[in-house]
Amino acid sequence: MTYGLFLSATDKKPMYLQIVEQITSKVLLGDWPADMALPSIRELAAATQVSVITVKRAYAELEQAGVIVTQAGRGSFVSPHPDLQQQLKQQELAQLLQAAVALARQLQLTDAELAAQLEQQLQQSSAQSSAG
Amino acid sequence: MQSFAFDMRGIDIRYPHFAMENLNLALPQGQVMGLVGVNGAGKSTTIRMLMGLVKPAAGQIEVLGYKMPAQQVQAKYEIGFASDDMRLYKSQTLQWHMDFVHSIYPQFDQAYAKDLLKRFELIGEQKIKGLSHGQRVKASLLLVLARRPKLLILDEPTTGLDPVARDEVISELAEVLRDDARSVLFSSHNTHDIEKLSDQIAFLDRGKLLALQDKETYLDSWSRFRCQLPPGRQADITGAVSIRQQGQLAEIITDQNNHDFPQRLVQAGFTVLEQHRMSLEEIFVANVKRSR
Amino acid sequence: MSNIFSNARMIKLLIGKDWQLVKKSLAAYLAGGVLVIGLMGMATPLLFNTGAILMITLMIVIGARSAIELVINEKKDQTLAFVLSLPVTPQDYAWAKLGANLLLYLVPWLLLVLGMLAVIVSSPVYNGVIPLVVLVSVFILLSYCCYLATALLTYSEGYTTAVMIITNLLLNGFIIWLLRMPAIHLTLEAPTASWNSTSLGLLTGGITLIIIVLLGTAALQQRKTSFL
Repeated sequence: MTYGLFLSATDKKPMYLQIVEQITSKVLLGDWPADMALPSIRELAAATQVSVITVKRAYAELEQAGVIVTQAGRGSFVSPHPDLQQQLKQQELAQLLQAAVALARQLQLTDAELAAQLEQQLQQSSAQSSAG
Repeated sequence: MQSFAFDMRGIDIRYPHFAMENLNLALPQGQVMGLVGVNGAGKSTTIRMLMGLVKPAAGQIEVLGYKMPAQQVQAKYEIGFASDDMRLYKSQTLQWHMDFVHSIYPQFDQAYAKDLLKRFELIGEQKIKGLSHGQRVKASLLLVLARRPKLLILDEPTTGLDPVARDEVISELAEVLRDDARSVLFSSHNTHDIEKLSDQIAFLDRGKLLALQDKETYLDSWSRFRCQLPPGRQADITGAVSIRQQGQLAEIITDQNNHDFPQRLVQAGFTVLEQHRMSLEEIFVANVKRSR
Repeated sequence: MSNIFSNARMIKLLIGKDWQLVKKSLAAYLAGGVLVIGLMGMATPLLFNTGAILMITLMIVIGARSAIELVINEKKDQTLAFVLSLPVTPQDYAWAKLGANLLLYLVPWLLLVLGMLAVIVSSPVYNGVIPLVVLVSVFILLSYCCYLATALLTYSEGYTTAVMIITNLLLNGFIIWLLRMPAIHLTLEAPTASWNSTSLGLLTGGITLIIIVLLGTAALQQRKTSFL
C-alpha cells in the first residue's frame, strides 16, 4: 500500500516536498486524524519507492511545522494539537500572501495597486457567493 | 561505532590508459549509494575491486567487515552481485540456475524466488538462450534478490529494460529499503532511478571522485538561475559552474546554492527572474562538462 | 596461495556444474564410442583400421569440445562474471576448472581405452596391436593436456586452436613413426602383446610429460591475479 501518497518523479517539486505537502493535506482534510501513527520511515520509503533519506527529511520538516510529533523509540504520530488544522491553514494563507507580494514586486506594482487588486478579488468573491 | 557496508581507503590502481589515485569511498550499513559517471569513469573498476576480482596496487578494502580480497569467500556469501555484462548459461534453464544458486547459498528463499518468478513474469523451465534482454536481466536479479543478501552490488540493473520491466525491478529494489541491515550500491545511467532511491551519491569521472555526498544536500546545492543583467554587463560571478548569456539575459548554473549564491547574484546587480532545482541528469551533464 | 582444500565445497559444486553442462554431449560421444569399438572388434583389418581412425577422431573431438565448452566459452559467453561472483576466489575457480576438465576427459578416455582393450583381447584381432593402441591413446591424452593448459592459461581461442592443430599434426607423425619402428612393427601381428624397452620407455615418457604439463599448469594458474 502506498498510504495514499502519489509521488511524481517528473514533478519539478523535490520528492521530500511532495511528501510533506501530501501528508499535510491529509492531516488538514482529516484523512489522517490526530494521534494517528505514521508509517515508519523505512516502511514509507519502501512503499513509495523513495530513498530513506528523503522520507527522513520530509518527516523532519513535518515535525518542524508541527504537523507530526516524533517520539524516540515509538515512531511518529499526527500532532494531537486541537488547533492544528487552523494553524496549518493560517500558515498556508501567510505563504500565499508572501508569494503574492513577491510577484507584485516583480511586476513592479505599488502597494496601493496591489491592495486595489485584493479589494477587487474580495468584491468578486462576495458577489459570487451571494449570487450562487 | 557505525558499521560500514563497505569501506575503501587510499585506493590506487593503474591500467594502461586509466588510473585511480587515492580513492576513498565508504557506505554506512543500511543505506543506498548511487554511483554516477560516464562510461569509462571507473564505476566498473570500483565495483570489481569491491568484489575481490581485481586487486588495487595500494589501499585497503573492507566489505561487510571482511578484508578484500583475502576474505572474499566469506564476503561473497553475503553479497549479491549482478552486472549487465554478466551472462547465465545459455543451454540451461532458469530453474537449473535457481537450483544451482540454492545449492550454494543456504539463505536462498525458494518461496520468495517463486514469487519473484511470477512478479517478473519469468518461466522457470525456459532456457536462458530463449530469453529476451529484459528477461535475462530480470533473471539475474531474481537469482540475487532471492538470497536477500546483506549487500547488493548492481552494475546497471535497469539499463536496456523497457519501462514496465524497469518498474518491476525498482519495485523489488525498494523492498530492500525496509531492512536497515541491508545496503545497496548501484551504478546506472538511469539517473532517475538513482535520484529516487539513493541516500548517497558518488560521482566518478576519469577515475576521480567529483562528489560524494548525501543526495538531498547534493541536489539542494545545485541550481539554475535565469537572470537579467544591467545593460552592457558581462555575466561573471564566482561559484558559477556555467554561464550562458545572450544580451541582457543569462542562464547561470551553480553548485553552491547552499552557500548564499542567490544573495551574491543580487549583490552583483543581477535580477533573478527564475530559479530552478536541477534534476540529477542535468547536474550530471553540467558537472562532467565543466571538468572537460 | 589458497590450497584446494580451503574451499573444497565450492570447488566440488563448480565441478558438478561443469559436469551438468556437458553430460548430454558426453553421453552421445560415448554411445558413438561403443559403436566404433564394435567396429574395431570385427576381425577384418579394414574394419579395424577404419574403427581405429574413427576412435582417434572421437577422442580428439571429445577433448576439443570439452576444452572449448568449459574454458574458452566461459569467457566468451560472459558467464565468468557469474561464477566469480559466487563465494570463490579466482584461484578456487582455477582449481575447479582444471579438475573438472581433467575428470570429464579422463573418464571417457579411460572407458574408451579399456573398451578397446577388452574388444581386442576377446576378439580375433591380434593382441600385438595393444602397445600401439595404448601409446597412441596416451599421446592423445598428452595432446589434450597441452591444449587444455593453453586454454586455461591464455583463455584465447586462437592460441588453443593453434595448439590443437599442431598436436594433431604431431599425432599423425607419431603414428607413422611408431609403425615404422621395428620394435612395434614386427610384433603387430603377433597373437600376444609384447612390451619391450622402447615401447615401455615411450609409455613412461608420455605419462611423465602429462604429469609435468598438469603440474605446471596448476602452478602457473595460481599466479594469475585477475580473471576479468
